[in-house]
Amino acid sequence: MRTGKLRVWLLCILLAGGNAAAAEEASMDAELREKAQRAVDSGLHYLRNNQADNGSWSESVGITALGLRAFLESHRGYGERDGAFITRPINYLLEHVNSDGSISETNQNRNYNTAVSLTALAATGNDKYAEVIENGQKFLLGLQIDEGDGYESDHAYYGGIGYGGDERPDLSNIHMALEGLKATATDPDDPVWDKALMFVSRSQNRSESNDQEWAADDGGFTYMPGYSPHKGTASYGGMTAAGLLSLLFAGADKDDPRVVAAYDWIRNNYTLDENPGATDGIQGLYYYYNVFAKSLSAYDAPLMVDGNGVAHNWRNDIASKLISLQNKDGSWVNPDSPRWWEGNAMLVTAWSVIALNSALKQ
Amino acid sequence: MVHTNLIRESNAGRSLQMLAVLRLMLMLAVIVAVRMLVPIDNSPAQAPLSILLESSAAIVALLLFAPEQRTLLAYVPWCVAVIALLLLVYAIDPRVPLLMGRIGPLLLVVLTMALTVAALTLYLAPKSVASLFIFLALAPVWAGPVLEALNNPAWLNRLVVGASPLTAMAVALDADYLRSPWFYEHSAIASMRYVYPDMTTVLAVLALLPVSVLLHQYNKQQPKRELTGDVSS
Repeated sequence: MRTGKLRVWLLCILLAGGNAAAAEEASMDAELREKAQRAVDSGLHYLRNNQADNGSWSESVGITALGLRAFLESHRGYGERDGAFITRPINYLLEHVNSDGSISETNQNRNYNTAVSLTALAATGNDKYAEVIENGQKFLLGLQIDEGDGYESDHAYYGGIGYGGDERPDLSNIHMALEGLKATATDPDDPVWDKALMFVSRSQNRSESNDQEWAADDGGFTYMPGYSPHKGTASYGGMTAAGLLSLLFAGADKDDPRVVAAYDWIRNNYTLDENPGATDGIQGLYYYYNVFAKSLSAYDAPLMVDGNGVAHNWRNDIASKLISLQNKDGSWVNPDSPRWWEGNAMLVTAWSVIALNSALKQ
Repeated sequence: MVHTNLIRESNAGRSLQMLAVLRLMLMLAVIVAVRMLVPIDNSPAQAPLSILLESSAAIVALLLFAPEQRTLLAYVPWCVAVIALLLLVYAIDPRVPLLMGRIGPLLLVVLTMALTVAALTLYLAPKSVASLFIFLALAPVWAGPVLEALNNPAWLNRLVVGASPLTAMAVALDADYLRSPWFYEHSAIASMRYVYPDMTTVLAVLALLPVSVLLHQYNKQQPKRELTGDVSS
């Protein structure tokens, strides 16, 4: 009896030890963690120094919301109590709330701006913004393309969300919208998720779940059904990470074949030296870093075994890469391509800090 | 003799009318042909691009088939005729109802733009003006790589986006045409930060040339009238 109890205790100790070892293996190295936290601090310092008097960054609701989110989700745990550098950007967002519920300074990017504003306002944890958030959710839900816009469910655009006008939907926009809706606890039974899954699936190179003729079978994602800005309908890193994140937001679990295929694409194309599959590997590089960290954090598998069987601690890898690319003033910027606004240091710094915040989150 | 002259004048007038009708039909043919030859599907997301294309074709058709005039005022009926042709085309375009509330501002911009290009033909050959129109319309495409190489300076971006006549029409339609599938694919600007001008600026800039020309032509006529008046008194 005593021996039996001893065995159970030994087994528990072994299991606990094993789990601790696995967790340690999967978390960021202690020394690197400190460096990453310093890089975050330096990035936030840059943002704080370059904040406009009205609290905005680059006079853009979208960049302001991302900058705010970078502060709120950082290891410093900043909040409204910390002063004007947090409250002023919040006020800037609130000043740009429109009567249709959108939060935007322009008609051009109403989806992006509203979505990232919702995510940032949700990160404040302040109930005061509940009404603004609810109206913003309604606005985003209204943007989703469905029967009300003259599209049937067999159309490639069905379930998608675009920039916020009449133009076509794309995976980047819908991933932002879904992130905003998820962050603000949109009803999981709302039809928005199922419709979104239809559009997201039609952006994946997986013919078993994509009814579009062009669909290949590498499991990666393209920008929108039938089009990639890099080549034909080729999969690439930024969109595959955004696709994986979108699938997870919309309720697909890790065993879903679409999730498995997307994850496999990222494994098989594992690199942080470039945005794999993108033109010259440099276009949309920091967008890739941002969504790579967010998607793998959401997927919650700290170790990733690449196509050659090599295991990667992605947290270490993304932190090391971003630390190596940080400028002396604490900023990040893509010096090789201004596409997708990556010539804007405020935006790229906010994205990079958010990526580091995701990697630092255990 | 008088009777014969009247018949001749009547026949000449009828021929002119026939010619005018023929010109209008050619203009309509150009608009319809351009719309049919450029592959744009019927999805609602393509509605603004489709209407922009038809409106641009109408301006080019005006330049190619309207008779050359010596004054801007003489062009006015042709500019109005172009608007009438566009209304005819819009009436049979299934996408137009989706943008019904925005057609009025669009037609105002197209009319002002028609007067602007007509004013230009007083100084340049109509075919040259048509070429310039197409060249500027595609500015976001051919200038995209330049902007990208220069890291998209805001002033140059505004200049390039603002120079395209498509921008003026798109502002009236409240449409982000640079994010339509074709432009997103072919213009680097579509993936960089850009700002459209507002409607007031668009109309003010477009009206600048025709108003200047009209004032200039009016002033040229004024001294002659005064001189004639002095002599008769």
